[in-house]
Amino acid sequence: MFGRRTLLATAAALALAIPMFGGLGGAKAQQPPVRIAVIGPMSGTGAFDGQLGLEGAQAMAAVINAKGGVAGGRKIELLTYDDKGSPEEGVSAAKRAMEQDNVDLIIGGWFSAVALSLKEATRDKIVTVMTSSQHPKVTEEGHKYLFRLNATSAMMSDFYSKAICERIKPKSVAFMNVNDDWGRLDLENYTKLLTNCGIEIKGHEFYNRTDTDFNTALTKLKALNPDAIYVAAINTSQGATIYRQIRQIGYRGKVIASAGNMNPKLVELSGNSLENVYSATPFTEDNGAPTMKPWLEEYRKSFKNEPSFIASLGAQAVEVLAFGVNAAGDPRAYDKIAAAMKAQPVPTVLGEVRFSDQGQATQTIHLVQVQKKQIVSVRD
Amino acid sequence: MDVTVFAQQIANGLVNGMAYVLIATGLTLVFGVLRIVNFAHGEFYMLGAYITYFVGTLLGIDYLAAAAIAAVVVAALGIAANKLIFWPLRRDHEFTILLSSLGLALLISNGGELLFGADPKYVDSPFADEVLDIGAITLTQQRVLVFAAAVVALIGVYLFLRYSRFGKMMRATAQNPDGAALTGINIKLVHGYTFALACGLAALAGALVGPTVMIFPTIGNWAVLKGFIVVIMGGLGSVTGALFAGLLLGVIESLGGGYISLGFMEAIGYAMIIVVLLWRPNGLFSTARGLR
Amino acid sequence: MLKVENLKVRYGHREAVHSVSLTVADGEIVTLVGSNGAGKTTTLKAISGLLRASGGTITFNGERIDHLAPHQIIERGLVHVPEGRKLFADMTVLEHLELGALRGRSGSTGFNERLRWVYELFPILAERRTQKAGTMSGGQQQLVAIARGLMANPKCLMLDEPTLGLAPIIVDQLADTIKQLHGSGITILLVEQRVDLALRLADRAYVLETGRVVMEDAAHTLAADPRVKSAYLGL
Repeated sequence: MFGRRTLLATAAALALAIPMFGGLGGAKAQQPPVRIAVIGPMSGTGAFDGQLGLEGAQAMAAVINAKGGVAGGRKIELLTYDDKGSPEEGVSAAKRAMEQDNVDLIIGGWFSAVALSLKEATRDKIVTVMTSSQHPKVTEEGHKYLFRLNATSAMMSDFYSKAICERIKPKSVAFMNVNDDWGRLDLENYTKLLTNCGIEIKGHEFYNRTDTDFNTALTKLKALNPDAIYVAAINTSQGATIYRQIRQIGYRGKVIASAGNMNPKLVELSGNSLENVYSATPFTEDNGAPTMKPWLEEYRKSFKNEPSFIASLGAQAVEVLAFGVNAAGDPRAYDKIAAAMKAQPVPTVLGEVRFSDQGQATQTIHLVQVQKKQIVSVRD
Repeated sequence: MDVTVFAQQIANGLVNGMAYVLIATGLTLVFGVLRIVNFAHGEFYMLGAYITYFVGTLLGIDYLAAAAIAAVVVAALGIAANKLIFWPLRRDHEFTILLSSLGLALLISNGGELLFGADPKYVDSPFADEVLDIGAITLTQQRVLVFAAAVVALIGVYLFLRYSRFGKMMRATAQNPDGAALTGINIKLVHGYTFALACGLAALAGALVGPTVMIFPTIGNWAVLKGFIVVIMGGLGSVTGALFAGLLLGVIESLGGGYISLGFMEAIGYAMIIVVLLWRPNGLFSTARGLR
Repeated sequence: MLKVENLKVRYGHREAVHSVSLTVADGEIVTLVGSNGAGKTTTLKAISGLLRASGGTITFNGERIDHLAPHQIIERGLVHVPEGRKLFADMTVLEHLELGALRGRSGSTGFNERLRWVYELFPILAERRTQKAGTMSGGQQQLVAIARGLMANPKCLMLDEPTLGLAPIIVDQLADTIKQLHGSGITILLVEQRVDLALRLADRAYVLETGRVVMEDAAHTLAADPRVKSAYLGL
């Protein structure tokens, strides 16, 4: 028993040591690598998101390294830390990264709660890029080296309501929203925004977060005879069931998915029922950004998940840091890096991104539609 | 009131209700014959759905055959669960048995999460998206299949219990376990087969309902909850009670959700339990004891 | 035929039968008498496999049966008609008889022959064959219980309190029936509250007190014993 435990511990230690020292050893021969900590939920309920983000970052690091690295030939090296989705673990991971491992830069903040405490741990000490968190205070009360990539919900609804009014142009809409804070707020926002451009709101249904069958609600919505049904569902399994059942009850009108809630898994689960459904997202594979193609190739070569918005945020984080380091010429010249990132649009996998003085990014948001089971951009 | 919408909601409710009946029948059989409140019953529903999914996607076997295979495999798992857990504990305190069934439920659902992954999956059926218009009512072929297959299965169960030698042995065991043993009935065998039948029915429900929704490893919680509501309403151990209570729950949920509020739908089940327990503590259809 | 040696039976931590030894020879009627709680019913339940013995041995026709399940013991020809009848309330008389025949000792007679024999013994059951047991009178229910046991074609029949709660006239009929069964070659172990009746029917008797055998002798000897008279016959 004791012997086996020792063996396991040794194996675990080796497994941890090999990539770290292996990476260091290889790079020492040339120039020291630029070391970036990726702090994310690698275990627990957010593990799938953390994994996708990390994969995206790794694929982008590989693309940049293949083209010769940053700051005159230095390779990017990513070190992974698990925040378990908890603020305390996030802070302790950041301290380990800075104090023990002496990293140059930090990527983190997948969940808002973690981002809010992580920004205090890194305040004015190290350039930190927050990824998918959406809480406004992350940048409103940020620090001089802090950046956040994801668009806020206000940015999303501004864009999407305009796209619905001007391009999808339904005569009337009925809402199918999840009954939680987000779903109710979303209904309120879009009711106002769509009414303003003359779309008739026929009614709404709130479903419960534990519901598995939606026939009752959808039967009611269908009876209202709306030109389009708007669905606000974050949970992929509920979303897929709703899109399937919309078609199964015989509804043949337009279907609009809430912004940010369209992903390959949903398309896979929903079969043909997502055909022609609209959504809005900063991520589309066909956005024409120069690094999108090589990143997609690298990602698909290395990982078995489909490229996703979360993964592209991981990639974008690595890209904006690489841009800053290149401009400053030194991964430790934090003032220069921050200034360079804010001075001009940064070209990334999601198109050009602009950072405000607070470090909040303005992402290009796209209207997308599912066509032949692919999520593609809708162009004029 | 719009007659078409009303008819549609009734139809929706009857289909959902029939699925509840299928789940609850196994639960009530196990309670009736073995006197076990089996919290793990929903997990056999989950396994039925997942096995249908994997047999279909990995082996490329068509949906109906995959559903049949799932029911048989899960029936065998039910025999194993009884042999390994419930039979050895049969003389223990009821509470021990209750906790063991809870433990088994956690074991299967956590094991399922490890084995199948936490991400949702879709059981593909050729009938899932085929829409049938029956008069003013619209149903998918799959939902018609849920109803029809459940009716056939339940008639089969009824005839089995009523007329087959084994069914008589099960009824005898339910009505008087000691009397059954002294009549020469092999109680261990009856327990094993009852578990097989109950788990097979749960798996069949999972395989049938699977293509109408998405599946994930914790759907067993939903199934066992609906099952318990129906069994308590219909009377513990009463198969006829489960039939009427299940259909009633389905229709009332559908009409309540349709004409009062969706938020109320979930509460309806609990409200009905309270009303039934106050009005008829043994359930709508139960006598004191026994399989009917 | 049946031999019980140093039988001990426990309910949880309480030992209900401390040490009971008894034998029943082929062709005998043997009775166990004693007050309530003396361990008579517990002894029968242990013999028929409904309860596990915690000590001692039970042999039937030279074979150890104390580790067998009830249905296996029935297959060997040892049948227990329990106290309180333990019928299936919602099932018909005929269904009881069918189930009783399921595991019976394979013998010279087939199901139909045995059914005819049982209907001859109890004509009322032939009339009521489709009636549900739960709706019958106590006396009729007792007949169903005995008939169900007989369908297993027993070599040895254990009857536990067959007369409990029955009207006197029916008790007499039942006594005749027991004699008749004995006459047809069935060995009988009888547990009976009516000690006078039991001692009249039996060849030998055992007296149980608080889980122990305190006396055993020929039935007529015990019937004459002043201790038995005062304790059980109220004389």
